Amino acid sequence: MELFALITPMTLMLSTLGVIGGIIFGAIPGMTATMALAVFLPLTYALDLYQALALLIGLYVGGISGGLIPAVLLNIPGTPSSITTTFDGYPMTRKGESVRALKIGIVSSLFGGLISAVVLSVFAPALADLAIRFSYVEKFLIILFALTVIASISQGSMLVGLLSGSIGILLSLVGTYESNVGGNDHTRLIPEMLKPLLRNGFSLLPVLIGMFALAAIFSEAERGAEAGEHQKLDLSKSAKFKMSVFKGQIINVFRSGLIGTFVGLLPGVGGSAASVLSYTQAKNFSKKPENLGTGVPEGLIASETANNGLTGGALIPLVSLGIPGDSTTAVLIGAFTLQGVQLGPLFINGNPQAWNSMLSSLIFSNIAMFVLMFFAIKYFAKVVFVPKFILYPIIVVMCTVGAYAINYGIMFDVWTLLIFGLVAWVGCKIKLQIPPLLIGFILGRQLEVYFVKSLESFGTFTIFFTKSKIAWVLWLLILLSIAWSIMINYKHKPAISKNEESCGCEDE
Amino acid sequence: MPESSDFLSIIIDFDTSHLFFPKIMIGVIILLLLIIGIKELVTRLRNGSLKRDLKGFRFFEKNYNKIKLYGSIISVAVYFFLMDFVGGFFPNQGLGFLFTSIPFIFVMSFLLVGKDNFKKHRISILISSVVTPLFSWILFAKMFYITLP
Repeated sequence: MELFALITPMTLMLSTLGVIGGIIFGAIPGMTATMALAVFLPLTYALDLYQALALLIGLYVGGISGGLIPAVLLNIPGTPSSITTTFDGYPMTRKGESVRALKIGIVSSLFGGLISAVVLSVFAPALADLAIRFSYVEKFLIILFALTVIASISQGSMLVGLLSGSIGILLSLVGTYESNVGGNDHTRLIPEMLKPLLRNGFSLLPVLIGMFALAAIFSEAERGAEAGEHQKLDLSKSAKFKMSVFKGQIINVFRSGLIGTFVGLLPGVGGSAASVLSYTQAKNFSKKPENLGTGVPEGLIASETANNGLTGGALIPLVSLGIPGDSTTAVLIGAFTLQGVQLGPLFINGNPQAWNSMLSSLIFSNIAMFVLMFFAIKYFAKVVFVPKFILYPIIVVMCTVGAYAINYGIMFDVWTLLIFGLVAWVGCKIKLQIPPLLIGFILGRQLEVYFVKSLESFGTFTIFFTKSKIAWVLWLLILLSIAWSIMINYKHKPAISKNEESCGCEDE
Repeated sequence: MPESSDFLSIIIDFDTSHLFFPKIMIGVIILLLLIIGIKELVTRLRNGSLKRDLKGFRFFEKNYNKIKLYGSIISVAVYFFLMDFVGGFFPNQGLGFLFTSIPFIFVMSFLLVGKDNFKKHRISILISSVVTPLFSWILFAKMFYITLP
């Protein structure tokens, strides 16, 4: 099969390495898949595109999966997308079924990942074919659609979420309005004295890493970086895992996997929404809904299948439209840029090999994740207990390497890391929301170009409504997305706010 | 500047087109700030909780750890500054990174672990502060030829 022609020992090794790294990051509360990608990114400078993809997708899958370890063992979601895993996973641990719960989670993760890989392989090319015909107007609407996500990832006030997103957009505009996208090469929003430094604006990656890694470390330091609850867990005394648990859960698995994938498809909605939605559905369809939350496999399966389903889903808008589905895939965009590959409607047909290697990496990473975690879960579980004072300085150093190397050695990018680390840390204090701000920052420039170019070409605001039927469909999607997020916000507030203590510094 | 002949048509002057969108965004931000400000003020006035909320606002966490917080921010800043400075003496060798990362990891670990617990963990801190920079320097600068400060 052509799909697997690109698999070499090197890519397999890198995938496996990525999965291990990802699981470790995912397993440590406060560290996330995004951070794993950011930290490992410098390594990809030395790799070719296929190898880089293998490593990064391995990290992505591992990072999302690793979150289930502290969720089940310590009742702390290792990544936001494993919030609902705690609902049934931790009660199982308390009943002395920790290993059984972990293994149910691992098998569910595998199913979720594979379902989403299949959906990705079918949907992304179709969406890309459609997107090729888009003009500035439709592209503007697509970006606007992506931005509506800000409404649904807003924690607390939606207005503040919008404000944060707008600030992100404004920050992205700092620098030159470049002529290669049709601008006039004038700079804007820069004080005179900073002109030489900020001519090209802030680089995406240092901003991302700073806002996630450094800000998280600063707020941990503020809290004293105390050691977490070191529970003496004896994993060897746990109940045994049997595949028969999945009997009668087939529908649950498919429903949750598909929910995860399609929520991931909506740009930026993020893992917590996917698993919360899937958990709610599992509860609605359950024969004994009152049992969910007391430590039954059903809830665990729904949560873990959905959050791994997310991985393939989030890659769909990434490859077909060039829009990141969440902050983790935003770092992937950075990696593609490094390799000189432009993501978007032309990507799949223009780079069939890269596309194939992406799919095969996704499938292989899921399998590697399964094998590694299923058989070595006891060792991975120990990661939860690595002391922060060892970990954090190492992360700062790795982030520095990543930031410095991104533009081949610009010290200002390293300072950007610190600046945005502080911005995010202060931002959290004054209740600004970091994930919406980042989405705004990532999409801001494209929003500007497509908006201004549409108006320059057609000379009227009405063009956004009258250009084509696709434009109508996109408006419909935008409205639906806003309505949906208002509904979700309203309905699931209690579940999502459980995560609010992280104050949004950690990503989705 | 954009000139509009009727309400919905618009002509954007190319020479100032770089300012067109930023101006809109600044407008949006000001508008949102006003709405949020008024909304918050109205709710607070209605509850009569304005004074209490203003007083109750706390920027830092309760009993926040001053030394660890400021210490880590300052040590990161000093680290970045010195890295560039030291790296200037050894262009393109990444030695600025190597020489400054070792003390940085040590200092930051010391800060985070705290004076009282340092003795207990000094060996692991020492190992991590030497091994991490050395390993990444060999890996990035020597094996992969990645530019380091």
